[in-house]
Amino acid sequence: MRLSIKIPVLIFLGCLAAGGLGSVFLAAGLASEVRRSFENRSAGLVRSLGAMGASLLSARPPDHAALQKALDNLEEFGHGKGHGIEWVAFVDCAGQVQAHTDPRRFATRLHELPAEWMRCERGGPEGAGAREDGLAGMRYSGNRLLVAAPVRLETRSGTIAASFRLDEVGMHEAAGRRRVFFFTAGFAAVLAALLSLLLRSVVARRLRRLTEDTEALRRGELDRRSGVRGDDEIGRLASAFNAMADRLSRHAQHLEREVQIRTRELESANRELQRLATTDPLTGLLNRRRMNEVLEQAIEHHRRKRRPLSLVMIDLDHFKRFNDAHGHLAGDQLLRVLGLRLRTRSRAGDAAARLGTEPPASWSGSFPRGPAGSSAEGVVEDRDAAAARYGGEEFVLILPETSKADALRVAERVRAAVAAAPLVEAMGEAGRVTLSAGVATFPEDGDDPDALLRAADDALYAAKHAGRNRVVGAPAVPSSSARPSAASAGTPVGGRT
Amino acid sequence: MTADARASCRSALRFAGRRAGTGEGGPRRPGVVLAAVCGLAAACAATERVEKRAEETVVSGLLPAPDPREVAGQPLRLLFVPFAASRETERAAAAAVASYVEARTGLAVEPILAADYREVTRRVVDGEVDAAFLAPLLYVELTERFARDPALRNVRLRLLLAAVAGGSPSYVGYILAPVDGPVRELRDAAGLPFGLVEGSTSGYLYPIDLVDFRGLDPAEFFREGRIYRTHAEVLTELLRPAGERRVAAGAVYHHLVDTLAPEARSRLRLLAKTARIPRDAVVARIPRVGGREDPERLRAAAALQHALLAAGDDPAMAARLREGIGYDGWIVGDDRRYDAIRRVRQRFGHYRFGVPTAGRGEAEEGGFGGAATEAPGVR
Repeated sequence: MRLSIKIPVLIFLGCLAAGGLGSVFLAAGLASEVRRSFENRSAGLVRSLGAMGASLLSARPPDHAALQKALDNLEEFGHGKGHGIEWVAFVDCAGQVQAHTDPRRFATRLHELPAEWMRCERGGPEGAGAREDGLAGMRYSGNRLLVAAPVRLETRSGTIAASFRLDEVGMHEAAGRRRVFFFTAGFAAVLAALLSLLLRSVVARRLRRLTEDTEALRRGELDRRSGVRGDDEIGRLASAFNAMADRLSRHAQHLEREVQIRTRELESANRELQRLATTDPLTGLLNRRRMNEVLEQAIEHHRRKRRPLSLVMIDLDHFKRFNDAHGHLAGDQLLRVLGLRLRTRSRAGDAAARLGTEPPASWSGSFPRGPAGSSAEGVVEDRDAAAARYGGEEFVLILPETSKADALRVAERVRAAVAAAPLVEAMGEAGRVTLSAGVATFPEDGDDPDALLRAADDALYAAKHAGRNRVVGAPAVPSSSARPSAASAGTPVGGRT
Repeated sequence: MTADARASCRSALRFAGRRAGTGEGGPRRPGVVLAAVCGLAAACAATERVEKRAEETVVSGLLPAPDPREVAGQPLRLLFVPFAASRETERAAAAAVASYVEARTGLAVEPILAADYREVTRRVVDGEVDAAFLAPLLYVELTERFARDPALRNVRLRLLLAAVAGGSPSYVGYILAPVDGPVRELRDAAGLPFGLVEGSTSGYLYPIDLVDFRGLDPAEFFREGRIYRTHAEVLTELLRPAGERRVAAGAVYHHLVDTLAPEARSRLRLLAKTARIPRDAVVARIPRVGGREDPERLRAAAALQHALLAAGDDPAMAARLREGIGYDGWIVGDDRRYDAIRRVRQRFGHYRFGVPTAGRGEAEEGGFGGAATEAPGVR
């Protein structure tokens, strides 16, 4: 059962119980009051009837008939019943009935009347020897009230006695009890309603709001705070709830920040892993495996677009000799610098950049690049090119949307730039090297990566064979030509041997 | 029929049921007990039916006053029971009442004087009258007749009024004894010659109830009872000289005694009084049409009721009533007041005491509830 129902019910029952207990006391007091009132009224009636009877029986001659008629009418017209009168009797000094509401009792002894209540004083004053209230006596007998008063009958004292049924009193009492009960029940109901309304706003509604706040917090609304106020227990509970929610919220925010940091760190590590997995550690260029993936994707893309794609395979001339002469560290330095120069040909957005191969800001130089949109001069925009270390001192440039002629020009610029100045400035003239390059174009020299690489390799071989420090384009067909024939069929571009 | 009878039936059924259940008071005879219970239940059911019929056929209460234009010229046959010593007195009183009602309501009232109670009963039952003044015992008998008689199923006996005399709607009977006789109190009269009035409520039926109430055996008490025709005969007998007197005590309608000359009154000792007896009734006989009372006759009855109620408030008419009939006037009738007579009649109505006296004296003084109306009544 909900608290908003339970509380009013308990309050109502409590009020009813309290009201019932109160009604018992009230009813008892009421019954006592009703009885006292009934006794007073009965005594008054007896005194009045006694005065009437005395006047009739003291007349000359005594008017017994009139008295009997008065008593008859008391019965006949229901006047007596209204007062609860069961019977009225006038008794003479000898205890004999002179008049009775039941005529059959005439001239009998009124056995209901105690002897000590009867008066027999000749000519004595009316009411002589009576109590202060003018009665000869009053007592309850069963469910009847017997009242007697002295009265002068003719020349002697007599007694008027009357029996009153308590039914009427009982009815009054019952009616009083009913009134008290209904009043109490009504009062309890109204009180319960008011109390329940009060409790509803003071306790139940605030508890419900607090419960809703708690439910919301449980659902994850960590910014939820209780609006319940007050310095009572519920108010303190709400404050504690808010403090707890604050702590929980702060803890959650801390956790969230930690997670973000960790996530960033993880992403960074992932990127580093990715970079390590796809780049050559010495030069920072794509490694061969990644180059194969990029090339395959590029060929598929250009196949769909029906656009040319060129591949430039580069090899440093006499690199073994350079290594032997200057040591492997110098060789590595040479490769690293060449790699850096080649990387500058690719920018953010190209395949290499996407693979985390951004050139560091400390790069000392780059190959000359043709101005953007310089197609008028026959120089292609190669910003989307990708550079890779193919193995040893061999490098590969993938030039998207580039015809063979444009690729030959790009390769020639690279060759010329390398040959123009020492690649490693710190070594002086000792650092001057040359390179040879073979250029193959999709789809004319090969329509898949292997064919295209083989064509470029054949062209490179031809460049080497032709004396190095030169660029050779692959023959258009056949792509599967033998290396010597390919070299012989190659078209050298510029340079010197 | 009455509530007492109904209660008695229920008590008897309960008692029979207990006996049947426990076998108390002897060996069990389930068949006999069951038959007795069934018979008793059937009798009680019959009583209930009669009572229901009585409630349907006998009603009382104040009717709404009709529009005088609706009853003007309507005939009303108004029956008077014998109530006075002479027919001339009765005729004059009846004519006065009829004239008053005619003048007040516009009804064409035809007063009818009955010779005795038998004629009253016959005329009311046969529908020869529309309304009647009835002695209380006669009213009780007629209500029972109307409740039982299938031929009267479509007639309703409506109690209109109850008479008031001497300021009271009831009267009593006195049990008297000569002061010079041997009887000083009621029990002294047991077994002595006792004057009773034939067919009288206050002079016969209620004295039996009184004796029983006082704890005496009526059969023993009235062993030497003597039956007189009128209350006056009993009173006359009591006032005779000691040597000529044939009764030691007697029962007399109280009004006769209360209005005696003081000298005569002083020669009598009042031994006891009977219970109160409701006074005469005024009833209307209203046929039912389609289960409902004939509205025309009902309006006439209402007019009669309101006219007689007004008569008691009219000083001139009240004086004529007191002089001619002995009434002060009337109050609205209530059938329940007559239950007292029904109870006493049920208990003692079958009692037969005394021997009729040879002589027939003159009728007593007026009043429908008085001696004369009771004396010639049928049992």
